[in-house]
Amino acid sequence: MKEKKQGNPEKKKKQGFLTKLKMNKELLILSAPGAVWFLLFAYLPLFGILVAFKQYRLSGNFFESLITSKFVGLDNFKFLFSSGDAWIILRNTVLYNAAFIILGVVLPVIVALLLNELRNKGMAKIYQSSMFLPYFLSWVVVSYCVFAFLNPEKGYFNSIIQQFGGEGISWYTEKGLWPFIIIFMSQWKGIGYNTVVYLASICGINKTYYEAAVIDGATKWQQMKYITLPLLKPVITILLIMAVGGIFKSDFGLFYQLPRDSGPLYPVTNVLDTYIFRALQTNGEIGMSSAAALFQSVVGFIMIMGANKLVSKIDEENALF
Amino acid sequence: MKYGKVKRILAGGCAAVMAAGLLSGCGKETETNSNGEEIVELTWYQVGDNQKDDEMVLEEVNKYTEEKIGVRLNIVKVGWGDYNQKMQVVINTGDEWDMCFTCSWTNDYLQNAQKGAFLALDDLLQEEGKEMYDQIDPRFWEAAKVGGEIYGVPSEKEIGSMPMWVFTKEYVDKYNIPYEDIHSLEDLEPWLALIKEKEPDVVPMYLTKDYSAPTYMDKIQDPVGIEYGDDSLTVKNVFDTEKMQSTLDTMRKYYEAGYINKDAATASDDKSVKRFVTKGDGQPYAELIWAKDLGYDVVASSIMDTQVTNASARGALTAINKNSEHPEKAMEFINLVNTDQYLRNLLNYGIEGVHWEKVDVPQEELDAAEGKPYIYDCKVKLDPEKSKDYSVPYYVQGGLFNTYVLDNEPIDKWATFKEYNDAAEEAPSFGFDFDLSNVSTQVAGFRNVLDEFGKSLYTGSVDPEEYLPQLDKKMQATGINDVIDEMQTQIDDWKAEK
Repeated sequence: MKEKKQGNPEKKKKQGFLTKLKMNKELLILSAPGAVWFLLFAYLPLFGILVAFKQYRLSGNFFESLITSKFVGLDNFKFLFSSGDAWIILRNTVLYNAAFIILGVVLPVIVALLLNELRNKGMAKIYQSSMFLPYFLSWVVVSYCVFAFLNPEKGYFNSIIQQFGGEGISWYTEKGLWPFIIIFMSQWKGIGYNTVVYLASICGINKTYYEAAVIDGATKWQQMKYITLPLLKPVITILLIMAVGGIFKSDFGLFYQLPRDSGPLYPVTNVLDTYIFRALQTNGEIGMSSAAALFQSVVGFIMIMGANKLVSKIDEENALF
Repeated sequence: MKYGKVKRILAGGCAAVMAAGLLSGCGKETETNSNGEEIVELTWYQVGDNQKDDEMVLEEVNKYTEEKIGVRLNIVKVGWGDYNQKMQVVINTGDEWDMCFTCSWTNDYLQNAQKGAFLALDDLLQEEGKEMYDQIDPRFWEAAKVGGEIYGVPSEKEIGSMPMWVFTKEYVDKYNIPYEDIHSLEDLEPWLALIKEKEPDVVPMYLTKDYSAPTYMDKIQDPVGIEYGDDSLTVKNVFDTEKMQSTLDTMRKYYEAGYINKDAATASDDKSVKRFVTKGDGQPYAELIWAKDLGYDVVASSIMDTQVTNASARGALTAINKNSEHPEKAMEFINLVNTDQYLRNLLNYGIEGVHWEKVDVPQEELDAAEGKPYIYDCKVKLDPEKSKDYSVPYYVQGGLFNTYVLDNEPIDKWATFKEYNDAAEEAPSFGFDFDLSNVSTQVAGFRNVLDEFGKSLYTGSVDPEEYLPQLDKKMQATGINDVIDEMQTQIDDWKAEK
């Protein structure tokens, strides 16, 4: 405000920038490594987007090749929609992600609330850690564990079914079951991680709120409903918006390793990432893989902006930006 | 003032970075060997897992090659599953490398050659590589040609594809099965029935997800190709051929009769499963390799006559980077690997006296092999412990015919390979390369459809009557007819030129 009164706008601007620089020195230094990282590894390579519009052919080094390769417009994007399955693949990707996003909020929040109410903090730690464990397993490992249950000939489930006189299920060809298996396994693997995030923010809630509530005679349920959940809302919204951005991406291992790449299951397990992987195995066009990645990113970007806009309409305080 | 300071710091930083760059650039002082030759370092990408004794062997190799031709190697090994992807990155980003392993099944030779990643070797072969060029079977060189030029040095080994039935010897002996007369899929039936009845613990026909039913066609761009013996060169979809349709029906019949393991379409090879017969990609004396792998004896019979296709003759090659700084040296080195017994065996088996010993060949065996090519006066006895620390895929480094054979193998092993190669018949499409640039969008859709239906159909897990039409419909949707037309046009041009 003070500065505004001074004349010479030119000088003022310069000084303003410098003083700002000086004022926020510590913060700037703190953010410098991150900023440099982003500049080098996120912004600088952006020009590589060009690859998505080129028929990439080698001539000299990467830059020369990139410049001299033939420009093909949107041809590289065509393969994403050319197969008869494009609709099924998009549907799978979006619906699974929708389910993951919703369950990925609801389940961990419930578990976090429950864990928080446990008296025995030692036991709470044990529950929390054992739920966290699957997060560190790779899908390849998990797929073998699941196979031990679902193996059509020697699997645990089929053995039980046959014990009771039933007929074994051919798990890896029965596509009706897999949406549930996939959603279940993805939540089983991810719940521990997400719970920790919510648990941490619950721990951050000021204890005096609860004390005041207890004095006013609030029940546990009321405390949860009127204190914990409303105070968790910002975190939930942020995580939700971020998750929406990934709606066109999918966890490759989950959809490729877990169903053991079984053909008859494709109608329910083929998602964008697995489709792209299989497609580009045969022709090795890096232009097409770039196009696919660009497509996913652009859609993700639009979704994030859209979700943020929506949130800011409803409740401006919780919007990301 | 402040700005000045910032500038100075920035300038200082830049200078430091540049200095570091300069230092690393000039750090390599030129070394020379005792002949006064300058020593150059060549980077060589290979597929395969790292070995404990890699470094030890490499040191020995370098000692030799530095003296001999002034070459020091830097071998980079990339695991089986990662090689293809890693090489795409290395090649497409213009990373520094001199030589790499390439073939029809990983780090695709044809695509790389067509995209301009490899150096055309014709001139170098006439100079630095002359000795090796004259030694290797001309048909391998023929196969290595892409658009009339050679882009890789083939590792000389079996030239054709030899699909085989692999029988467990125990049951063959027990039931006196005339395995040598069993060739086609249909020939198997009575014996599968017999095993099913008599040996309830044994899977009569054990198949895994990598299995593909016997195919009498050169699938140039899976599933599109030219049938063996079709001299009219008509491009077809393999699933439209009568032969494949009847094969799939038979597979279904076997599956329903319980001859095939139920999880065939998703199984990966489980060696503990007792099986009577399975399918393998053979070569002469392959049963020795399989037996070692499985831990029990097997016998094998070929399913069809050996056919030479581009894919089979491009089973292993070494290519040189188009941007390599030392292409002559690289060629000189590849030539040395393929002609120098000491170096070849060192790379293949490790250090003599550590990883392996020379053993004598019985005189009568030598006499019997008199006059045959590729006979050496010793065999290799691997050290049972140490050889585990250096076990490499032999065809990755160079040709096989100048390696010594193992002590349990016949001394004329390579002579037999040579005979097989000479006898192998060329598929009508041998020498034709498909350029898929115009139809790459359509081809991109193929794999998804093939993976969805292929494994289940090949193993008989699903009914072809129901699923073949579905496959066909999806293939049409991805534009298979465009690919067939494009290939037919290209192959007609090729034929006209030939």
